[in-house]
Amino acid sequence: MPDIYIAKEKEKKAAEETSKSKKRETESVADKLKNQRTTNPLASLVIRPRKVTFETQEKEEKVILLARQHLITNVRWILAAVVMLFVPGFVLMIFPDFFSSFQYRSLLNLVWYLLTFSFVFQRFLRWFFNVSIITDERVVDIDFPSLLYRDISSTKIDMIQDISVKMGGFVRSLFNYGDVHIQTAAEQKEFIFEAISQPERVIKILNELIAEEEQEKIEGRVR
Amino acid sequence: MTPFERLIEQLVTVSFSFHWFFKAILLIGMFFYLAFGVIAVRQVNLMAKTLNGAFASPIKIIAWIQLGLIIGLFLIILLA
Repeated sequence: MPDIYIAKEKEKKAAEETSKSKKRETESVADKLKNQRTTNPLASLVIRPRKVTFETQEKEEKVILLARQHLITNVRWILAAVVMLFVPGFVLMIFPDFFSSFQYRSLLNLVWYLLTFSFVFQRFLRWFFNVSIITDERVVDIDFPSLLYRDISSTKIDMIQDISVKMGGFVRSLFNYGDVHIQTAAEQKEFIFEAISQPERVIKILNELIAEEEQEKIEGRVR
Repeated sequence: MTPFERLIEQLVTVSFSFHWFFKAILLIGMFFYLAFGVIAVRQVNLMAKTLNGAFASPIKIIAWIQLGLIIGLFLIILLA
């Protein structure tokens, strides 16, 4: 009697496990990554961002990953901004009689600090909006090389032929960031995600998406 | 003395004012900075349109604050 009872329980467990594994197999990459969602809007690698949309996005297209340059790449301009903050003080220390008039000195100080603010803002904008996006259908690269000029290029996931990562140097190894090179069969032959953090993770997600796309093709579920 | 000679004499004897020179240089510089501020607002709008996210509104506000500060400083220099 007890043996039969155990056998039933085992059957139940086995059935549950098979249904779970089936679920896992049918779950898309976008669904799998929902649990690892990044909530910080200033992160350099944002997984499944909640409120991010881009101009050329299609209705059912889901943003899987948004990558910016690693935060550490900003250190140079942050240091420059800190130096700029101290420049008026240094000038006054070296040349105490440089503009004896309080009015001139205040005006120049105001102009200088506003210029410093503009410099910081511009550098931040360049970092924040130059992004690479991976959706469940495409890879999109958004660049703003200068004021009022933008460059948006994209390729379909199934056009990707080869992905490689280039990581070298002390700082890149220490902070785990590098360049991801994506070779495609599209018009634009290569996409480069420059200095992004956790490049291996990005490659893993891309490979999963490529496999998913191939599976969709086999099953005839291509959008 | 002919009118031309009078003009030359006026030009030669005109007293050089550092205040006006300084103000003019600052105003010319601020004019270009003002143009930059306007372009920055447009640039931020274009960027936010291209990539819309949770942080787009604060960035737009900062761009407008920057433009406001530039206009304010331009007026201060003009009235100084």
